Formats: sequence, C-alpha cells, structure tokens
Amino acid sequence: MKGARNISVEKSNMEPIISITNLSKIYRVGSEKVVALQDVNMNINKGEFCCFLGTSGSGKSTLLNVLAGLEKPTRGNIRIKNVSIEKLNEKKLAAFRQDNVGFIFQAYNLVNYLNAVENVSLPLMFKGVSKKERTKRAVDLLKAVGLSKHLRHKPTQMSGGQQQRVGIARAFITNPEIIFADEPTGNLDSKTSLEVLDLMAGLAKKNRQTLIMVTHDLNIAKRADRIVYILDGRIEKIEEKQYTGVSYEQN
Amino acid sequence: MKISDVLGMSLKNLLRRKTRTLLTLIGVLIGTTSIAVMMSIGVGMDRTFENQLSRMGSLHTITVNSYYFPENGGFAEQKNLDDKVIKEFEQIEGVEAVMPQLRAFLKFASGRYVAHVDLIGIDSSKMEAFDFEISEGRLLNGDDKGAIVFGSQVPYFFYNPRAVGNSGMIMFGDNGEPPPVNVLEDKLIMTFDMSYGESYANQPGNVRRKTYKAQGVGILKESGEYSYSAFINIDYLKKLMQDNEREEKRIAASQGGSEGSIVYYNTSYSRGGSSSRNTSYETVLVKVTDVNKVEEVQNKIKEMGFGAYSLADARNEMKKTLAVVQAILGAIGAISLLVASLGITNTMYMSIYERTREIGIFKVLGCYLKDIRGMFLIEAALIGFFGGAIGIGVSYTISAIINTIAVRVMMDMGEGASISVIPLWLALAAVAVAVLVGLIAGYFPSKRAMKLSALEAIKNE
Ligand SMILES: Nc1ncnc2c1ncn2[C@@H]1O[C@H](COP(=O)(O)OP(=O)(O)O)[C@@H](O)[C@H]1O
Ligand SMILES: [Mg+2]
Repeated sequence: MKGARNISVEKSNMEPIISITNLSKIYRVGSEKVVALQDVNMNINKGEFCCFLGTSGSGKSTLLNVLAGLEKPTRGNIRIKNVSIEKLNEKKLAAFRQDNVGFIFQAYNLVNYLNAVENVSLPLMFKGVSKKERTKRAVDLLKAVGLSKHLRHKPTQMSGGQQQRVGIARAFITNPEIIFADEPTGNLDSKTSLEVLDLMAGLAKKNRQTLIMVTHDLNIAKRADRIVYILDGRIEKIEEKQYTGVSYEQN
Repeated sequence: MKISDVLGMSLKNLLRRKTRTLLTLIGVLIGTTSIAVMMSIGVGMDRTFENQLSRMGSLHTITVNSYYFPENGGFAEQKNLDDKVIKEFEQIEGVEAVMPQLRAFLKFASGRYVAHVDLIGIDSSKMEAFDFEISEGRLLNGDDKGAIVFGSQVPYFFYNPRAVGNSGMIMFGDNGEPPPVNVLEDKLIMTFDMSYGESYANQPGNVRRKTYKAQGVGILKESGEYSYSAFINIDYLKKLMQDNEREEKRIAASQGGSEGSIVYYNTSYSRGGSSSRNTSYETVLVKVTDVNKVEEVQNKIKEMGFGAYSLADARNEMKKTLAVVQAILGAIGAISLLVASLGITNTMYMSIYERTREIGIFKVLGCYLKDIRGMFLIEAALIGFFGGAIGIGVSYTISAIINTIAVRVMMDMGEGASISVIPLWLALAAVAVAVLVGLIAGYFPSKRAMKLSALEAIKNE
C-alpha cells in the first residue's frame, strides 16, 4: 500500500532534472586512449537519490565530474535544468555551481585554517552573502547536523565523521537542487558511514533535493532510490528500489 | 564575493604564515626605505638649492644688458637699450613689467663718514612689481628728487676715512653693531667725487667737485638682489649725470692734460653717453609673471640681440644635474625594491603551491576565477602596502638621523636646510610604488592560481 502510493507520487513528478545523452569521455595519455565513459544515456529525476555503483576505475567519478561540469565530455550532451552545461564557460559554470550544486567529497576537503562555521559558509561567501547572514545560516545548519558543540573547531580538531558532517552542511548551505557526493563514506567506518548516509539522504529528501552519489560499496548503494551499475564506462544496469521491485527481491 | 571578504581571506592567509610574511615584508620594507631615503636626499638637495636661489633674488626677473656675447664666441655685440626697445619688451607675452635702470657710482657722506654707493635710477612706480619691500620708511614717489631708498646693507658701507687703521674696507653684514650713520635721519650729501672726505683729497691738483643734497627715505628689507645698492628716481639721476658730464668737460678743459695730476672721476655711468638724445640704459629688468615662462621670454630677448640673464639659467642647469642625481639615487633604491619584488613572487608561488587543494575546492564550490585571482593579488599587494607603510616610518626616522648628524658635522647648512627631506608626496608615492610592486610581483602567481585545475586539486591522494 505504502509502496503503491510512492510509485504514484514518483510517477506524477517524473521530471528529469538531468538528462544525459550519448555521453563519452576519452582520456589521451600519450598515444594511449583511455575510454572512461562510453555512450552513457540516462535521466535523473528531481528529488531522487541516485547512486552510481561500480568497481574502482569503472568511470563513476568521471561521470560525476562531467555531470558537475568539472570536466568537459569528449562527446555527448548533458542538460541540467534545460541548460547544456558542457557549453558553459568558466564564469557561467561557477555561477551555475553557486546556485544549483553542492559537493560532498570522500576526503572531506575542508579548509584547514577555517573553523566549522567558516567552512560551511564558504559557498555563501563566494555568492557574496554578508558575513552576518551566512554565519547565522551556517550555525543553524551545523546545529541541525549535530555539531552544535563544534562550531568553532578546526577540521584537525574533529573526527572523520564530524568532518564529513561539516562537509555535508557545506554542500547543503546554499539549498542547491542537486548534491553530488563522490564516495562520501569512503574514509569512514561502517557505523559512521550509515549515520552520515542517513543524514545526507534525510536532508535531501526533506527539501526534495536531488542526491547523486558514487560508491563502490553495495551496502551503501542500497540506501538509494536507484542504483546505476557502472562497468568499464558503460551503464551495465539500473535497479529501481521499491517500485521496480528488482533490487527489493534480491535483498 | 564581497571585496571585504576577498581582503579578509588574504589577510587571514598572511597572518597564518607569520614568519614568511614577515620576511617578505622586511624585503619590501628595506626596498621602500632605500628608495625613500635616496630620493629624500635628492629632494633635500633640491630644497637647499631653491632656498639659496631665492636668497639670490627673484626667479621672475630677467636682467637685460645692452651688450651681448654670442654663445659660440666672437665679439660682444652692442645694441641700444632705449625706450623704444623697452616698449617692445613690454609687448612680449608673459611680461608683467619692464624697469630700465640707470647706474652711477657715487660717494655718499654724512659728517665724518663716507660710503661708496652703487646708485641705481629706477621708475618709482614699478618698485612694487619688482618686489621692492620696505623695512623702514617708505618707497620712492614719482616727485622725489634727492630721495634715496637704501638696500639693507648699504648703511653699513659708511666708514670714517680718517680713523686709525681704517683702510676703507667695506664690511658686509652687521656684526651686532648699528651702522655708523642713520641714513634716514642724518644729513646726507652725495657726489661724483670719489676723493671726497678722503685724506688724499687735499693733495695738490685734486679738483673739488659739486655735492648734491640727498635724503634717505627708506631702507629695504633684506633681499638677494637689492641689498647692496641704493635707489633714486631715474629722472633725477639722469639730471645729476648730465650735470656731472658738463662738470667733467669743464675740468678736463681747464686742466688741459697736465701731467702728474690725479683726477678721480666716475666713468661707469651712461654707457650710451649722449644724454641729450634718447637715453640708452645699461640694464633693464624684465619681470615675468609665470616662472615657467621666464626662459621663453628670455630667449625672445636674446633673439632681439641683447644679453639676457636670469636665475632661471642657473636653475635650469641645476635642475638638469639634480634630475640625473635623483635618477641615480632612485635607481639605487629601486634595485633593492626589485629584489624585494622577487621575494614577493617567490612567497606567492610557495603559497599557491601549498594551497593547490584549497584553490581547487574553492573552484568546485563556485568561487569565481576573478575572486581567486583577487585573493592572491591582494595578498601580494598587502605585503607591498605594509612593507611600504612601515618602510616610510623607518625612512622618516633615518631621515631625521641623517639630518641630525649632518647639522653636527657641517654647521654652514643655513637655517631650515636639511640633507634629507621626505615630503608627503614622496611618502605616498613610495607606498604606492610598494603596492604596485606587490601587484606586479603577484600577477603571475595569481594567474597560475586561476589556471590550476580544480579536478587535479581535489583528486584523492
Ligand atoms: N585525468 C585522467 N587522465 C587519464 N585517465 C584518467 C583520468 N581520470 C581518470 N582516468 C581513467 O579513467 C578511468 C575511470 O576513472 P574514474 O572515473 O576515476 O574511476 P572510478 O571513480 O570509478 O574509480 C580509469 O581507468 C582512470 O585511469
Ligand atoms: Mg572515483
């Protein structure tokens, strides 16, 4: 019953926020060609939690980076909110990221000399938000992710899990429509991994934000609405949870 | 990004690496200090020179002579400096006033005291234009006849020829003693007879000459050009000179060239000679309103065939020399600032190398390239600014020390003259140059930061 309702909700809101067509990425290393992505086609819907799952070197990170506009594809097209992002210049890409995208990294990538609040408010600073305003928002969000006692801590004064919470807060601070997370639990133990994952997914669901995550860990991937299996730069298969029932039965 | 945030990030990073920042800053400080101190010596020389120049007379005045020595050698040429020419001078653009001068050498006497006086006939209405400033009494009036205005030193020329040990030497300047004659109140006479009052005046064969009544009406303020002369209305002096000419002719005729007789008379007046016709003046002063036009006017007068001299000549020559000296001093200072700029560049490259990852994260999080460049440029500029500002503080201290030592070493500098002067413009310019050097030194490093690949930076490991 609950599942059925979910389907109808998802179906009625089936609007792709990202559409990928014929996407390929080929690296040239000397005279060698490394095909990192090969003819990828798929849509990602608004509000969904989508996970790219694959072994190391399969091309997951490359796909994520191309989607985020950090790298230009060799061929193909990416439309995010109806904008072909591979055609944007550096300046427009930066503005696009400021407004629409949040990032969570495996190695947290916090700035060492800034405390938790300052780290979280960085994206707002780049947008030109006043110090008073961004500090207030950062403090609120840090409290929401359970770091009310670590507001003025520097990254080196926090555990891995705490650092990733700061990372998550930083990704969500601008209220982006899309959050990219590349192996966000890669450096964490399994218990902390699940906590962090729940936090991320919970925040995204609450505001109907699209969460796109990369992992090589099936247990982590299972939390997603959809698992995209990547193998040698291609989409091997796509599993949809609950409404397709495919991955459900496997469990 | 708000500019205050860009600045804040730059400051934060500078403060984070205190030792390195401090060392780089000291480099800039030394550079700025050496430029400022070097230049301050140039400025000091310039000030001292201008000071001396202004004591020599007005920079606005051109002195025109009737004779002219061609610059490429050859014989002196002579042209009549008459009223017609003076009219022409007045027509030259930039000329404010023209004052012809008639000059005679007379002996003044008051009681037992006498003085040899360079008496200059002038047009009283032009005294103010030519910066005659009165210290006591008044300037000349148009209807004055025997009225005399004395240069500030002239009253000290009076001496007692019969006093023991007095050889008739003129003592310049007052040694605390008042002049022997009060030229404004004591009775004065003047004469073309140079022997007047001297012991040899009684020798046989010496002809006594006319004396004229003189009335001291004013004493001028101390000034470079007028201190050693006395001034009288030009028309009256003309009359005196004509009178004297007649007298000389008479004496010459009566003596008939008798040998052995000593005739003392003045020959230095009235170069044109023929007093009945249009007078030719020996000297004409031309005043130019704008100091910078003096040279132009002077050249025009030279083209007309007259000798023209002004302090501008000396000034231009000296300025040329000073410019070279200043350039050399500045260049010496600039070398150390150049070295400092390499220090800044090096520091910035190191900083960027260390912060590669951070820069990458910033880019991924949507920081504009111009803001990234801004952060590094401002960081470099701040090093320049603080180094420069502290450097100026140090420069003022060093400048003060130099001047204190200089005053002790050589006392003849004159009051207020300093070896090293740092005017406000020099201080501001030095800081501005330091900031500019910072910006230039930070330019390529900041370009590098902009070009760093965001992906490379955030790749794990
Ligand atoms: N900058 C690069 N230059 C050359 N080859 C690259 C580059 N980045 C990734 N690759 C190659 O592309 C393939 C996919 O890499 P990646 O997307 O990082 O894999 P994953 O994230 O799934 O481990 C790998 O074979 C990798 O060696
Ligand atoms: Mg990867």
